[in-house]
Amino acid sequence: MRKKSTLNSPIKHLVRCIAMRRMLVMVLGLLLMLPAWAQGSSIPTSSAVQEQREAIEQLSEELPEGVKYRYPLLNGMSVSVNLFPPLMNLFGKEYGNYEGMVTFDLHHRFFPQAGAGIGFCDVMNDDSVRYHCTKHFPFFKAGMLYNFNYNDLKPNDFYGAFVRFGYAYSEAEIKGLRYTDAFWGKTDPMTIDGLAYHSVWMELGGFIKVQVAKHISLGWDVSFKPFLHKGKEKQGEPYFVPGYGVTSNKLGFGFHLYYDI
Amino acid sequence: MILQKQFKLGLTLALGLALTLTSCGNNGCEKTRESIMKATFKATGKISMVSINAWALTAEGDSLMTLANAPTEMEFILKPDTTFTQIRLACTINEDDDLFQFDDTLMIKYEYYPYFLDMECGCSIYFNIQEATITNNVFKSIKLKNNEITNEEKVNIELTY
Repeated sequence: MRKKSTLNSPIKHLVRCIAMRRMLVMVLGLLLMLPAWAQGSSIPTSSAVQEQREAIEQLSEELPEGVKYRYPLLNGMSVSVNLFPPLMNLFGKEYGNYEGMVTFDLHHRFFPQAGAGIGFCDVMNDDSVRYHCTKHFPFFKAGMLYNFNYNDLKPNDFYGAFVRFGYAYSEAEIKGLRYTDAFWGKTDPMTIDGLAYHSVWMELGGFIKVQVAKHISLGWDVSFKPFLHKGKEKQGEPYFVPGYGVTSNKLGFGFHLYYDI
Repeated sequence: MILQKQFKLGLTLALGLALTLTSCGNNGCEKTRESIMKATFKATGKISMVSINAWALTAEGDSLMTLANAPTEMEFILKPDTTFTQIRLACTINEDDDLFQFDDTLMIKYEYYPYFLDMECGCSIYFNIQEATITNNVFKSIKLKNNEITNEEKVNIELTY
């Protein structure tokens, strides 16, 4: 019995291998069919595949000599809103900026943009110090996105760098301030009012934009935001600047919803 | 194509959420809140300062002196709800190896105001020295080097003896 088993084992192994390969081919075949099934269409015929291949080959050809851009000068435009501040508000932030932007697509390489919005803040810390923007203040931004792969064959998904400039005017009052030192103890609550700030800043960063449906794209960006002019009063610098956010945080994040026209 | 788009949507939302969560945080106050007036002593003659003791002459709790035995400099914490203080400086000097005791009075008129540092630290009290004078038993003159007393370490007054 032992001898017979020894003789048969290479054959059994071979049979098992063949069976496994067949199984593997079937599973791979099913997986390849899944996307087509998901789209609700039938399996493409060989002629349809050939047509697609030819179209891609035609597109992937080098640009003719002397032609710098694959896409026209005015390649489109988009309007967008930044969803990040409302998301932050959902997480309990007591300040925010609601902004909209218009972006133009020039050769799919340069994306000049301009936008505006309003900012608000009413923040109270654990010691009952309340920093309050006296009303909703507008802010303005303008800048340019730059697409690194501007001649890419898939224009709907891209990434790049950007620079923006922002300006905001704001007024604030601070209530519930108490000063405590080791010798004199704690003062009565104090109020600082009449604070007015003109602020100018720059945003330098990178972005990604992806199309999720026809005309709809999502994007996110991260930026470094140095102040060019922060605005300062005798009684202190601003804690919050509309369009910028909390001034001690030099990093900015954006999560944008685009409508591409 | 649909699966690819769902993947991209999920990835984008996940990145957005991650950014949202990572942006939370509070590091607490890392700034100095106390505003201390600093005076330095400058010698011009043969005498040298051995020690200085100082105390307030006006109402109790008017002003406070620290580093009272430092012969080269002295720090004062002004009271944040008054605008005038008189400080007696009891000086022990050495002249030709003999010790002498002299008293002088430093008078400071100032205004104070709250200064907002940030939401973590709250505020400090800054002072603006409007006038500073001193009697002339030991000290010859007083020089106002910086009339703003803030939480930054700066010399505000120079006293010459």
